Amino acid sequence: MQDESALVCAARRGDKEALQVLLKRNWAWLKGLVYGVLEDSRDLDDVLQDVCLRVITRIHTVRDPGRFRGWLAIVARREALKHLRRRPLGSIRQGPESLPPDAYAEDPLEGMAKRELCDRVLDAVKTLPEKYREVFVLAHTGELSYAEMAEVLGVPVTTMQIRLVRARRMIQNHVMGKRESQVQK
Amino acid sequence: MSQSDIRLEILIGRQLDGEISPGEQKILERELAADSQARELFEQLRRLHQCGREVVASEVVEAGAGAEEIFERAWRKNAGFSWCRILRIDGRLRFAVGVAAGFLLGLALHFVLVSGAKLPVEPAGPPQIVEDIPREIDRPVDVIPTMNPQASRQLMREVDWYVFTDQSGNPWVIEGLREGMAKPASLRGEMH
Repeated sequence: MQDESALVCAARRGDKEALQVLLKRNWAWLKGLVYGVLEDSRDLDDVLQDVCLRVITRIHTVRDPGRFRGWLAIVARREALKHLRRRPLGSIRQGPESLPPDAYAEDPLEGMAKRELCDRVLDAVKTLPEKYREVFVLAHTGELSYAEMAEVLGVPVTTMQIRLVRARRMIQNHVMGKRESQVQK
Repeated sequence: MSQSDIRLEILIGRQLDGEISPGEQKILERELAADSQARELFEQLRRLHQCGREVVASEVVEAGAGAEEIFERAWRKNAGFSWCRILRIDGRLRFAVGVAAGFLLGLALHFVLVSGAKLPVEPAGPPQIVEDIPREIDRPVDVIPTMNPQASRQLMREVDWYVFTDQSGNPWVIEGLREGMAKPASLRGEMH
């Protein structure tokens, strides 16, 4: 953290290398967060470029270098939402897709090939509400601790944990073919 | 979902995410040893976690261009707006600078357009008296001349008026005349 604060101070003075290192260190979760808002990876690079541009031009406004991560998360989420609003209406998902044909199998996880399971998990992740998708993707990038995830999401650690549990249950239910009403319980 | 289910799922989640404490680890192990449903849930969540890792890695982390490439693109794009970064002034200060610049521009335009292109030219030789102005104004006036109303219509009067109060407190109106003309002063109020 100390090191990161020093990098932020250097970046505020216009040190390009420091800025690059900062962004590279936070890149994985940053991608995850933007993905969580966008629902897919179509415009991921464009949004990340806008985030970088924003960071380059506004880094001097970071008052507390120790809170750079939270500031970066706000910038990223704002840029992603801005991009999402500009998308044509037809490209926005209208809700969960229809259940797979063998969704009501007794234990789909057992006999399912791993690739197929991962496809279903991905499909389920895309149908999650934004706040659950964000936390699920962040947790599975494997980059951040719970405390850091809570900082990035701007919520207490307990709230973040509950969201993660619910996100996992929703995905589990989606994979096992339970209906939306059951998923929301 | 009951409270105990949530608690168990939180514990399993913490175990899978590497956030579990030694105390929580013991509790989880006890629960898993005692309850077959808990073991089943643990196994399901473990597979889901593994799959989630793979999905996020392929769909998010490894997708698209690298951090360096995107950063360089953004840096180049920003180069066009580098003046903003150099100035680094906040909104209010930028507004004040804009107003000041506008004022200066307006002032410059005023001198160029309103004052006209006729700039004062320095006389080439020594100053010359163009017209010998009669010094009648210096002479004492015995009789105040009266104005001929017929003639006054033909006069082109170019006057300015000045008001002042003398030492006795009398207000005076002075007809200030242009060059080469003399006119008597008149008193506003009582004559002394």
